Amino acid sequence: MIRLPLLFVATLLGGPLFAWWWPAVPALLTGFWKPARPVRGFLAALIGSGLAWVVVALWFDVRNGGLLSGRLAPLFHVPGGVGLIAVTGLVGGLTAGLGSLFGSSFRRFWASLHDALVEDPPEEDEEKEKSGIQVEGGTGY
Amino acid sequence: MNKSVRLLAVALLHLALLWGWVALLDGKRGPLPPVGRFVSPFEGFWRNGEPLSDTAASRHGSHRGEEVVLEGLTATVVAEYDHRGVPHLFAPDLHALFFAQGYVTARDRLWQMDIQSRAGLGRLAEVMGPGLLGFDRERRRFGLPASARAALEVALRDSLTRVALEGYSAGVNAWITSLKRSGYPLEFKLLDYAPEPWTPLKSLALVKNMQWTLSRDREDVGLARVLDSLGAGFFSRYYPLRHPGTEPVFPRDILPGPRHDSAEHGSQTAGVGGGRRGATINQGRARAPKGAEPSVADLPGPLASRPDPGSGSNNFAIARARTREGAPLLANDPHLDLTLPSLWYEIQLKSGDLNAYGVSIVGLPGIVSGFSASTAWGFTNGMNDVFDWLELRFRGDSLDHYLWRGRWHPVRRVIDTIAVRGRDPVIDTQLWTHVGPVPVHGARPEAVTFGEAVPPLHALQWTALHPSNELGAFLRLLTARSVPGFRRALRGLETPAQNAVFANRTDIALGHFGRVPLKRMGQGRLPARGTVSPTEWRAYLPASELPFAVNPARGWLASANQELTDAEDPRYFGSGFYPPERAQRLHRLLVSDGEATLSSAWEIMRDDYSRLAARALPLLLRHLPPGYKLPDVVDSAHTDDSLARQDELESEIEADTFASPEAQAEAAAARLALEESRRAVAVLQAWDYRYATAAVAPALFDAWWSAFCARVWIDELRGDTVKYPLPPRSVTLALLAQDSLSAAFDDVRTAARESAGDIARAAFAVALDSVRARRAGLRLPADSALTWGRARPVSIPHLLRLGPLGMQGLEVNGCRECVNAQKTSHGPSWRMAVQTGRRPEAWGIYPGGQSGNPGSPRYAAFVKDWAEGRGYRLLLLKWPLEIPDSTSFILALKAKR
Repeated sequence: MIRLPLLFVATLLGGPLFAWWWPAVPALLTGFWKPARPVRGFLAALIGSGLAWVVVALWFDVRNGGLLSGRLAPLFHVPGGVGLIAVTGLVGGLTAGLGSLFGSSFRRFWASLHDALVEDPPEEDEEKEKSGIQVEGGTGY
Repeated sequence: MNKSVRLLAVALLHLALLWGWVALLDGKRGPLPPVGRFVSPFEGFWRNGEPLSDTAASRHGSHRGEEVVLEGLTATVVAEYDHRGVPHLFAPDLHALFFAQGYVTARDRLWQMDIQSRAGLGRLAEVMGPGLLGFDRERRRFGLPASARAALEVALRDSLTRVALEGYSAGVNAWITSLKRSGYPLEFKLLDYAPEPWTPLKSLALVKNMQWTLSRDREDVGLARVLDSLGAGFFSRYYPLRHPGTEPVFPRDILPGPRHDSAEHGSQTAGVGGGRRGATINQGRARAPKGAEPSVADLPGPLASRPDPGSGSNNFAIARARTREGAPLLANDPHLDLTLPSLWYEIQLKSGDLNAYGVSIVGLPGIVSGFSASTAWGFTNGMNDVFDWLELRFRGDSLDHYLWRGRWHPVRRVIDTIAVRGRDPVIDTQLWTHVGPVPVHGARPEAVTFGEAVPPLHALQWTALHPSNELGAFLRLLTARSVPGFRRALRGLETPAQNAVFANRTDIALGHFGRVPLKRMGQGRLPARGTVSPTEWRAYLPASELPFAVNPARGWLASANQELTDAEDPRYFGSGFYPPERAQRLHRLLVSDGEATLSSAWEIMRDDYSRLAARALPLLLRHLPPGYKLPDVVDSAHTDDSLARQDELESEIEADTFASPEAQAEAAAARLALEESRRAVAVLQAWDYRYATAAVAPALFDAWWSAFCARVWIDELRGDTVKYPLPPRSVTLALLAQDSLSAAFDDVRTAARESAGDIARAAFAVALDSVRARRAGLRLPADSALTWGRARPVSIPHLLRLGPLGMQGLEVNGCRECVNAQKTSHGPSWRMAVQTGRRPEAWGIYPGGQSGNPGSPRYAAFVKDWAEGRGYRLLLLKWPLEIPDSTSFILALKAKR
């Protein structure tokens, strides 16, 4: 799907400009844009943004010959530079994933509110279904 | 509607998750930095990893280079970095020069400058939290920040130091303002705080740090406990003012002319075994009036970590008649706590007729130990006692007035505010008297005390609290060309008093410089009663009476933290000098080298022979029973004889024990133990008294000697060596050598009368045990020996004591008493040898690297070479791009138009 590469690029572009939790922002927007299948959205964000962080971190790490990550890893109780790379990916990815989750659940809430306020006649319900906005039941949250 | 409510709840839950996650990772949690920010590849630690191979913005001809335009700079300065990352600065005027020094130092070591200046000003809790409150309070109550401010005023009145401090400060700030948060040094990110602008006061804080480390006397309280609890006789017999056998820095025969008798009393000395009468015994500590407050002897708390009586600095100069080149040689290795990054930063400064290379203290302009085209200089710590406690009597409980010479004087209260991260600021009251501050305000348990035993209600007299301008002295030394110039330059050096050595193309000189209070013999050695015998310092040794030697007939000068002058000298400098062995060895090495070279001078600094071992070991071995001893002359006939004797012994043991399996097992164990001791003795007997990394004897001897010293005294010290300091080992050695039946060896806890031999044998067993335990602890396989390198691994910790950021497990030769005075993390923090002459040559090294960034390949680049005893050629350039190859990197600092 398209969300993964989109978030990968967005994370890379926005990273140097904004705070560390920037990955949550584009992820939130994509979640809002495609609220169906929130789990897939979460994973797309996790991997897309996580990978972006991993790639940048790896670039610094390889250029540095693993010197710094090797020194810091024991302080954080992770196995070596690889462990730190993993932690980095996880932090960036989870931040984005949670953002995506909130984006999609907010969108669904908003849509349901819209439905409830506009006391739509049955045809409009059908229209809504045809237009593809699916409101899923909770999938185990 | 219900559906909406449900979906809202879900959305809020997700929001809470997101918010909570971000908040969790955005804040500092205990020792962990804010994780989100820290691991972000855009603003976190990843950026701090420097590329392994230097890249640069552009190339200037065959050299790589970069240009920066800086606010506050008024002229162009060229900073040429050589292949080791040492900046060579070429500037048209002094302001630009020191500006550049501040800039390049900050570029490499900004965080170190920040944290160390905070330490000196008692501002660590502000960024590191309440755990450092005690540290800050101690610094402030001892008067360090206040004296830094007073010293700053003096420094700013001197035009040279003013230019230096202001230029340096502006340079540091030019670097700081160029930093974005993502570019902060690693430790700022770890501790989660930002650099603040640099000021001249912060530079003075670093001077205060040096004074704290080098002139703070930690002996007083311990000695007072011994005197008060164990008696004057014991005290005077075993805690003499001078080490037996000392060879002073300035013996009579190298000092010019007759000395003035500037002390109030005639000369009095104390030696082992001689109990001299008079004021020396109590050394100013008159009897407390009845009903007085509990004495210092009852003070809770361990003694401060005392400066180990084995480590210290060396310096020496060899006259041209005794060098191969025909020009003087000079060497210096200051011994300090080793840290990463190092206290030192190598640099060259050139501007006008100032052209010097050496190590600078990070945070201070100038150079401390170094050389120029025609001169060289270096320092060792004087070890003077300039830190005295005076017990005061206060009126009532309010501590508003104190008694002095029969009159009540008001106490000056200073309300101090200590900022603490994460908490409200702490208000602390300081008490000041005309003599000095009173750091501990009461003997009651709830009164604030410090980690070590500081006497309550005692005022501190300390020369470091006198406003002075040490920086001016070090700066003027950079352009001193002659011996009188050298002497003049260092007049401003007050604290810590130093033995400074100097050489130019023709002369060598060694002088003691500092603010030396005139004292009676022994005065100030213990906390004194200010009300009973006023012991305020009233006068100081004038510069003309400070010991100073030039071009002695013997052709060399040296100092190694030992006593300054002969026993007959009426001047009293203190009693906390180091035991004599290191100085004695240094002297012998210098005497025996009639044709010195850089190489031989370097080897002298690396010398790992221990005179203590050479004297003590034979004395100890004498006391082992004949069964243990191998003959001195090892030839096969003799060996066979004594082996036969030993076989006899073994069969005797076996014959006795054919009875039961337990007894046989015991015999086997006994045989094993005997074998082990024989091997140990053989190793010790074959030893050349050198603490080489591959040698096995040092660990054995070290364990034996420490066990011996402890056992000799533990009974007299009532089993409490935390409360009472051991007598100096020179005393123990003298007793062992001259008086092995002395009462000191008797264990007062037993009915029997022990001798030195009994203690030696018992200590030997303890030593074997401890070596065995050490081997087990290191998990050494059976065939692998406990070499010195493994038994005493050297570690160089990071300033924050974060293990992985420092270095551990280094194998380095040397010992406490050797010229190469290496201990676990204390040793030669800089080693330098300079051959003056037409074409000066210099070698140097320090255990660290120019960069303070743990992510830089230059962070610990010199450590391995240092550990293995190598040095680097130090380059004193005359102009930029003199280095023909392209390893240098040019940084051009340009003024803003």
